[in-house]
Amino acid sequence: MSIRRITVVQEPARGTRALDAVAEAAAALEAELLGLFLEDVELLHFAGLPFAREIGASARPRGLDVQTMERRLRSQAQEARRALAAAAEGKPVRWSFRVERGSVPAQLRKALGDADLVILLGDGESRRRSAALLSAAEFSSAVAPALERLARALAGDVYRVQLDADEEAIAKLLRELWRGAAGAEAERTGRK
Amino acid sequence: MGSSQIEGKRQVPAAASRSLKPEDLCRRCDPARFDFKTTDDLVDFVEALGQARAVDAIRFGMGIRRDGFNIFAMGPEGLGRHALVRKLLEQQAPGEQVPSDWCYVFNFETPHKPRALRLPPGRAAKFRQDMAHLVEDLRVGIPAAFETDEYRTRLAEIETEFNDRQAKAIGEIGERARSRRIALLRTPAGFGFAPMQKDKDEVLEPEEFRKLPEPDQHRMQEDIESLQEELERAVHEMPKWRREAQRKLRELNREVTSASVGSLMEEIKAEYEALPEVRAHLGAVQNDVLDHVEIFQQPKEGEQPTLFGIPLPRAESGESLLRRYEVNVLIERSADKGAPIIYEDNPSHDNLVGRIEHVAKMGTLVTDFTLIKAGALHRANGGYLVLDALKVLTQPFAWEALKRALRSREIRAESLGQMLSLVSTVSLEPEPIPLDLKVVLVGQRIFYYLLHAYDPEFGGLFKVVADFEDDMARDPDADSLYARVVATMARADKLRPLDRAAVARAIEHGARVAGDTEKLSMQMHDLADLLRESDHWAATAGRTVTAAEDVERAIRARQERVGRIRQRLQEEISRGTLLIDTVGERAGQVNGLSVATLGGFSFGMPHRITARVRLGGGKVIDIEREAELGGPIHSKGVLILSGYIAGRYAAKTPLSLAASLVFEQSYGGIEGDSASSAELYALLSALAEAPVRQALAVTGSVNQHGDVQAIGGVNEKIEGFFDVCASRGLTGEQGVLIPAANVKHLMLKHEVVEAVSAGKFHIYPVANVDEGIEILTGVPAGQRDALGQFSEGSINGRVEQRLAEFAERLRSFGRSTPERKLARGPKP
Repeated sequence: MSIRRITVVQEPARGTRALDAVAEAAAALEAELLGLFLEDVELLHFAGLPFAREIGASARPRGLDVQTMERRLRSQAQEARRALAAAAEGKPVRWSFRVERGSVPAQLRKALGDADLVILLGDGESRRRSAALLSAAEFSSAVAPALERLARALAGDVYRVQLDADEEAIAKLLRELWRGAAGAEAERTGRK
Repeated sequence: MGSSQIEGKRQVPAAASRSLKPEDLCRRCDPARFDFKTTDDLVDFVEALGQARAVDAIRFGMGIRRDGFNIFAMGPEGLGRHALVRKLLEQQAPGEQVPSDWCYVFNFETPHKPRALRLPPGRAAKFRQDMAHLVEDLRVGIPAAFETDEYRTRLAEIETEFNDRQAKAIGEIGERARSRRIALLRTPAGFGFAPMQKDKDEVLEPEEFRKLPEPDQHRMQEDIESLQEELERAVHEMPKWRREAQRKLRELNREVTSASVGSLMEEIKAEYEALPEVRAHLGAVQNDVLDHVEIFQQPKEGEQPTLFGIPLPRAESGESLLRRYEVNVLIERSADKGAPIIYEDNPSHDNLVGRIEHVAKMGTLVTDFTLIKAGALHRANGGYLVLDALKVLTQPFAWEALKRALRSREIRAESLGQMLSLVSTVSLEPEPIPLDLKVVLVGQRIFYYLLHAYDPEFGGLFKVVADFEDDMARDPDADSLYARVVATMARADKLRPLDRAAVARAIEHGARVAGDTEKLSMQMHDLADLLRESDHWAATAGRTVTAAEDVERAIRARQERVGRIRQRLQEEISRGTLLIDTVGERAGQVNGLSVATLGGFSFGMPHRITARVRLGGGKVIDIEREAELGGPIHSKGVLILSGYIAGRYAAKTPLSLAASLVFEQSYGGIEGDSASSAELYALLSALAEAPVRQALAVTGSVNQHGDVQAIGGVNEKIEGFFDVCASRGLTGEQGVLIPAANVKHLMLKHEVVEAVSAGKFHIYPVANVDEGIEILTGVPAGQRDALGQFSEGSINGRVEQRLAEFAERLRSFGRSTPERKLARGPKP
């Protein structure tokens, strides 16, 4: 089994190096790379409420409306696109970028259906949120260490790799993936 | 007053028969008395010739180890003061202890006051190297300590604890919200609360919210407001938790690095066990390293450093922070043998006390302890510093800085700009370094005397004076020693050897420069130049050994090079523009002699001095003074003449004389009293109406008793007149009257001596005015007889008679005009 498509679910301003590593892995595996930015529709609903208030690091509530929220999400999406373009630049990788609006769990499920490998970039909070949302797709303890090593190979900033497949398929896929990544590394450094 | 000009010879009086013999005119140095062929046969003369007083003083100054016993070596330029001082210091210094090395290091307590560290000689460079290695080792060791699983686990613990605490606080609020069917949402820039749908875990859409009954809307809003307040309180606490996490992180960093830092530090500390100051510094370094381990973990290029995902402001780069562990070796003496001898040729303030440099960074000037640079005082500390007094005194604030350092016995490195507050930028106050050195100032005597008189601190700081002699006694051994000096110089300068005749000529030149047959000049620079020039002429002549002709040629060529003005003046005399008679006679007119010094070259020239007399109130008018062209010493000489005439010829009658004296065709000012005898002769000649022989010239000062006194520049004066006479043709009548006391100073050039030998020129030593006037007029001066009368027809008799006539005429003139007296009113 080979990996033909890798979807990276992006959060802006996070994991530039990880994105770079993912792009490199995609190039090594000759897989297509898709950057996906999810616009949470619930945030827009929230912003549409007449009493919507946001509390930031200053601990002081400030008013919010739909336009502001739209603008923020748009700018985040642009940032994510720029980051992906920068990561893919100069690498032999086919890449595309997409913005999806809707319910995050639904969008993630859809992404899992479309790709062989989905990588979530983000901080602890998004990791926790995604893990909770996708409890059905949590991978088993048997493959976790291998995933950790992969994560490290991809520069240590990847928090979770989600695979929508059975245990056997996951193990096989990882072995191939690992060999591919190791081969790419050896080629880069000139070692065989 | 009548004057006449008569051609022809006159009878030569007795005094004139005492003209000097050729051997009196120049003390020759006989080459035959030397037992060497060329200077190659002579051994070097390593002592300081004729400078025993100065040598003793310098040795005393070097030997005495007390405050303020610094040395002032004084004397005119060209005596070889610097060379002698250096030679004596070089003899002494190697036997002395090599002084300490000095470094500046970072002061961790007060960074703007760098600490000075003393190390044994030659250890500073090693210390700098050791510190550089330590930093290299730390840069490997500290990141390695952070690479361990233990560290990562504990770091994750701290991070997790912080995140959990944060998540727990937020989560609890989220739970409470959820129980009220309110969702806690994470927005791009914070958190927000929104009501949830009744049956689903989804946020209520705005339209649905508006469809709710108003009481429900109000309740939801109230719930949200209370939750917002809770969240505000929780968010408010977060910075505190973050600080706590950061503190824990620092403690963790310190803990994990202390072992590796400690073991590295122990190694280096052991090497400097015996140096408590260095050990203390190393202790401070250790603490600082543990407090700032992060600077050893270089963040990767272009990446913003973060803590728990929070971007940190980009601090100063690690490299520049690591500079604080460097060692600025100010003075390093690994190659030194003995105490240092430093000659600072440009003793500016900064070059003496050191300076603090700045570098431009982001448009501002910054500095640190590594930019402190040593000055001459640092380099000479523990040894000797030789300075030129004039240079120190002419450099702004250098003299004050030198005195301050000597007085306080410490060196405070401070730039002049900083001292004067001209540079208003970040600056340092380096810890002063204890100063223990001997300063040797080399300068002219005038500076020593002026400093002594006007600088109250000078005497206390420069207690030893080394006074260099200008010349030395020319006893029989001196010529031989001088010959060895010549040989030493020739060898040192890689010149051709000189034969003994050449050496003899150089010695004669030495006596001529000294202006004394019994002295030899100590102007060693002048001698060295003469030898070099002689060598050049020997080379031109294709000789392998420098001969007397070469030395002679060097002397003549030198005079020729600088002799343009002398030549022009002589030319003007020959052409009759400047009126000087060298034949004939004239009353009231005498050839005086003067010396001009231009650019270090002295030459003599004759001047016509004239006197006119008439009836008057007893005043001799010095026209030079009246025209403000005469200096005070010249005026003094003229006033002495009045005293002499009044005392000798008009002791019992009023001096009813009015006389005027002038240096004819002199436009540039006259100073000195060496023409006072010539002026007196002119006056006596005018009074006695006795013509003076113009073939003679006169020099010498005179006192109120009529004694002729010694003057300076006698050789130049005689030669000046000789040259004028020689250019017109020597008659055998011409000559110069000089003070008898100057005979011992005669070192005349060969032409003069030859002319005298041939009887074509004469030098008359004169002890008093009577002798002089006899030679000049050919008339006996005359002595008072038993009745107190001068012999009739003698010069003195005629002068006295003339003055008596003036007095009588004045008296009769006064009687004939009583109304004039009345008009003036009665005298008390």
